[in-house]
Amino acid sequence: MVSKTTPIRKTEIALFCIPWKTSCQRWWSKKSVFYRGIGHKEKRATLRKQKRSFLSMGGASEIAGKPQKMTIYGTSLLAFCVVCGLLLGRFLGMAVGLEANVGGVGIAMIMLIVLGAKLQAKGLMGSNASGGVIFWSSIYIPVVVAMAASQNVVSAIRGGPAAILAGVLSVGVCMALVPVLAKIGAPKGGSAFPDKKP
Amino acid sequence: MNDLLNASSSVFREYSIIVALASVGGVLWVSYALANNIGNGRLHGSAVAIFIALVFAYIGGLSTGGKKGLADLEWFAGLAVLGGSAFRDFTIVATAYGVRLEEFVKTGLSGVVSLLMGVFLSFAVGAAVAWGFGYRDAASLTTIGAGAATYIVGPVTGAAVGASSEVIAISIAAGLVKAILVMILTPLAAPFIGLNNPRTALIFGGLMGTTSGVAAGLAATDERLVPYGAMTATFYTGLGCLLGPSAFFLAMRFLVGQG
Repeated sequence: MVSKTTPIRKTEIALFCIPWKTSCQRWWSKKSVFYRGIGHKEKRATLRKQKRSFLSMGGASEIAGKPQKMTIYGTSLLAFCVVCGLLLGRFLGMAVGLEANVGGVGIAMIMLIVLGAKLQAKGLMGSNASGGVIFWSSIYIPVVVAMAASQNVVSAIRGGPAAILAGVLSVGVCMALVPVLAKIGAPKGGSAFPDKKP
Repeated sequence: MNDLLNASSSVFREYSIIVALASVGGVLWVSYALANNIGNGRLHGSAVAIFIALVFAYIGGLSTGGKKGLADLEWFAGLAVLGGSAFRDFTIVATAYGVRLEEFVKTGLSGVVSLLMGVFLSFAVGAAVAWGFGYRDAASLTTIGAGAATYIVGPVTGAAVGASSEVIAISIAAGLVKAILVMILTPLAAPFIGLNNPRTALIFGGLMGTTSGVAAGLAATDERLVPYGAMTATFYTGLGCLLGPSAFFLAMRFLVGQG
C-alpha cells in the first residue's frame, strides 16, 4: 500500500505559522494588544507613567499625606556611586601600572551629580531620599575631625628638620601660587559663589 | 570598682565607633562655642575643632607610641574608623550632591594645570630641601621630594626606587607635616589667596593635593568649597605615584648622575 500523503508545502507551513506567530507575539507583548487603538505617543506615555509609578512605589513613610521614598534610597545611590567610582579609579590606576586609586572620588562625585540630577528631574528623588544623601554630606566635618584626631602627629613632629622644612616649604610655595593660577584664564565679572547656601 | 571599670571598658571597646560619634560631637560643640565667644567670629568653629583634634592626636600618639593618634587608645579606636578613608570618601562624595556639573567642566583646564604644577613644585621643593640636608643620591632625593607631595606618594615612590627605610620615614613625615599644615593654615590663608569661590578651590585642591589636608582645610574655611577642592585633590596622589618613580626619578638621575 502506498500511502498517499500529500507532501507539506512551504506555503502551508507558512500559513500554519502566521497565526501561531501572531498569537505568540500577542502573548509576548500583552501591552501592545491592550493598548491597541490608542495612539503611539499616548501609549508610550501611559507605559512610562506606569513604569514611573512602579519605580517610585516603595516607601513606608508619609509626609503631609504624600507617600515618601525611603531615606536609604538616597544613601544607597550615594554608596553605589562611591563604589563604582572607586572601582573605576582603581582600574584606571591598574591601567597605568599603579597600586593606587586614580581619581576614584572624583569619578564618584561626577556620577552622583549626573545621576542625582537625572533622578530629580524625573521626580524620583523625594525629599526623604535626598535626605539620605544630605545627611552624609552634613556629617562630613565630624568625619574630618575624627580623621584629624587619628593622624600620626607625633611622627610628623619627630620627622626631623628635613621633613618639617620640606612640608612647610611645599605648602608655602603652593599656597602662594593659588592666586597666580587663578588669574590665568579667570572669567570676567568677578568670582562670586554661584549658588546660595541651601 | 575594678569590675565596674572592666564592664564599662568592654562597652567602650565594642561600641568604639559610637563613642567616636559622641566624642566628635562633643569636641565640635566645645569648638564652636570657643570660636563664637573668644575668636570674635573670625575663627571658624571647625578649624578650632580640627586643631583640638590634632592636639589630642599628638597626646594619644605620645602616650601609646602608635601610628593612629588618639585612635590608638582602645576606647577611641572608633575614631580611626569614622575618620578612615571609607567614611572620608563617602562623605566627600556626598558633598557634591546638588552641585552643578558645569562648575567642574568650566574650570577643567586650570584644574589640570594646577595638578601638574602642584605635583612638580612639591617634588622640586622637597628634593631641594633633601639636597640641602646633604642627600646626594637620586633615590633619596626623589623619595623625599615625593613625600613633600603626599605621605602616600613618598613611600610608594621610595619602595619603587629602592630608597632606605630612614629616607622613606622622612618622606612620610614630610607628607604628614604638609597635611597637618594645610589643615591649620588654609582657613588663615584663605582671605589672602582669594580662596572663596569654586574656581580657586579647584586650583587649591590641585596645588595642595593632600586629600586629608584639603578636605579638612576647606571644611574649616567654607564647607561649600569642599567638593571642588576634593575633586582635583583626588587625582593628585595617583598622578604623584605615577610621576614619582618614573619621570621624576629619571630627571633626578639625569641631574645628579647615577648616584
